Amino acid sequence: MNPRAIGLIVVAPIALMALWIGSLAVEVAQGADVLLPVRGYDPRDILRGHYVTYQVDYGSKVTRESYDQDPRCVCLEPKGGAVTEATWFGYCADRDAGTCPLFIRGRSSYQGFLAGIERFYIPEAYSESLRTVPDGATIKVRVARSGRAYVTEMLVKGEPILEYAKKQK
Amino acid sequence: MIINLRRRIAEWIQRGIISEEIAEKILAFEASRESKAWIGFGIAGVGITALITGFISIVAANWESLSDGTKIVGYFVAQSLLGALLVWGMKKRFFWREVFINLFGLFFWAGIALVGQVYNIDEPAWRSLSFWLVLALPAALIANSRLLPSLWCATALADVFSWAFEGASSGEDIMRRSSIAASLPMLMTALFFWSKGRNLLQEEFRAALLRFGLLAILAVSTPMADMLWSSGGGHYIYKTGITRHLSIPWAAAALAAIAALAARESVKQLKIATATLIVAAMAYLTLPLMIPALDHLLETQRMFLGALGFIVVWSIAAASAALADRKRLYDVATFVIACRFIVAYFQVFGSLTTTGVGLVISGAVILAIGAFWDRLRRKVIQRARG
Repeated sequence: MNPRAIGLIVVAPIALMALWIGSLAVEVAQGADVLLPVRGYDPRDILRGHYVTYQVDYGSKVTRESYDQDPRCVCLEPKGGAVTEATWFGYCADRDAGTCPLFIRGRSSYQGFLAGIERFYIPEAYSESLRTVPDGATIKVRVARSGRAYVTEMLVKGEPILEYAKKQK
Repeated sequence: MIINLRRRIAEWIQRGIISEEIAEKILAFEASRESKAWIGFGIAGVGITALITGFISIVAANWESLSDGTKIVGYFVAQSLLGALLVWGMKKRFFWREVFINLFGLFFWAGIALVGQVYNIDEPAWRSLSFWLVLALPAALIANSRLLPSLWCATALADVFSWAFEGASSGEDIMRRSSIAASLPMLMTALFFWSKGRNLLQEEFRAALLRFGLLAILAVSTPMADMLWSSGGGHYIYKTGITRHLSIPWAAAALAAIAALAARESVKQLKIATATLIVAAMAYLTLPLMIPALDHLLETQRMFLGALGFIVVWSIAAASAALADRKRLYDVATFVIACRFIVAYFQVFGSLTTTGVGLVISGAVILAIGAFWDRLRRKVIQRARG
C-alpha cells in the first residue's frame, strides 16, 4: 500500500479526534459559569466509569412536560458564587437574545428539561461513598455562547464533591 | 490446512484421481501461497479484546491523581504510538500488521470514553457510536482479519437502530427513523454485491457487510415482522399516512436486489434466490403496515399468515445458503423453520390433540418437500458444473 495512504489512514482519525477535543476545550474556555442545585444517585457507565446522575433544579419556571424534539432553552442570570434559577423557559426559537444572553439549550422530556449536563464522573475510589448525591449538592456549569453546557465541578454545600467524599470514607 | 490437504491428496492418489506428479505440484502451490495465519490471529484477537477492554477499564477508573490534561495527552501519545506501529506493521508479517490495525481502530473507544468523562458529556449512545465509526473506518477498510470489520459492521447496525429508537418524539418520527434504520442492512448487502466483482473493498470487510446485512435482515426483521402480523393495528398506522416513509427501505431493498442480480462471479440461481430473499423479507416486514385490510382478518388468520411469511422468508434463505454452499447458514435456517413450525401449530390450533395431528401431517409434507428439494438441488449443482 502507498505510504502516503497509510499515513493518511493514521493521521486523519487522530486529527479528527484532536479537532473534537479542541472544539470542546475552546467552547468550555469561552463559557460563563453558573451554579445549579441538583438531586440524584450513582450508576455506572461501562466505558467511562462511575458517575453521579441527577436532576437539575432550575426553579419553578421550568416545568416537566412530555418529550419534544424541538429544542427548549432556559435563560439564566449568573449570580457569582450563588445558586442560579431560570428566568425564562420555552422553545429556543422564541428566546429573546436581548433579554436572555445566557441560556442552556436542551430538550423537554418526561424526566424534565435535559441539557446533557445530568451526569458527573467520579473516580472509582469514591463510588462507594457517593452512592447517592448528597443533600445540598450543586453543579458548576460552564455555559457556552451556543447554549451548550458542560459540568466543570460538583459541589456539596460549597465544597468540591471529591473533598466531601474523602471525609465520608 | 496443508496437513488436511496432504491427507486428501493421499486419498486421491490411492483412488487414481490424480498422479503423484500433480499431487506434488498442488502441494508446492499451496505451500507457496501467503498464509493468513488465522489460528495465530484468532488467539491474537482474544489478546486485542483483552487489551482494549483493559485500557477502557483504566480510563473508567478515572484516576484522581492524574489531571484531565495529562490523561488526554497520555491518550494522544498512546493513539499516535499505535498509529506509528500500524505504519511499521504494514511492512511486516500478517500477524503484526493485523494486530496493530485492530488495536489502532479499537483504541479510539478509549479516547471517546476519556473525553466523555473529562467533559462530563451526557449524550445519546448513537452519537459516540457514530463518531467511533468515522474514526475506525480507515483501519477497518484495510484490515485483512475478521475482528475489526465485523465489529465495525455490528456497531453500524447498533448505531442506526439505537438512533431510531432513542429519542424519537412521535409516531411519525419513529416510523421515519426505523425506516432509515431498516435500510442499512439492505445497503450493506447492496455494497457487498456491488464491490464483490470490482475488487473495491478488502475481502474481510466485504464478508462482514454481507454477514451482518443478512443477519439483520433475517434475525432482526423476521421476528419483528412476525409480531406485526400477529398484533394487527396496521390500519391505525396506515390512516396516519406515516407509512409513506416505508418507501425508504423499499428503495434500499430494490437497490440490494438489483446489486445481487447484477453481481459478477455468481451462479444465476444464487443471484435470483438472494434478490428474492431481500424482496421477500422487505415485503414480509412492511405488508402489515401497507395493507390495512389485513387487520380485518381473524387473529388466528393473521397469526397463520405471519407464520407462513416467516417460513417462506427463511426457506428462501435456506435455498440461497444451499446454492452458495453455506452449510452453517443452511442448518441455522432449517432449524429456525422447524422451531417456527412448532410454535405456529400451538398458536393456531391451541389444543394438544389438534396440534399433534397437525404436526404429524405437516411432518410428512415437510419430508416430501425435503426429498423434492434435495433432487432439485442436485440438478442445479449438476447444471452449474456444466
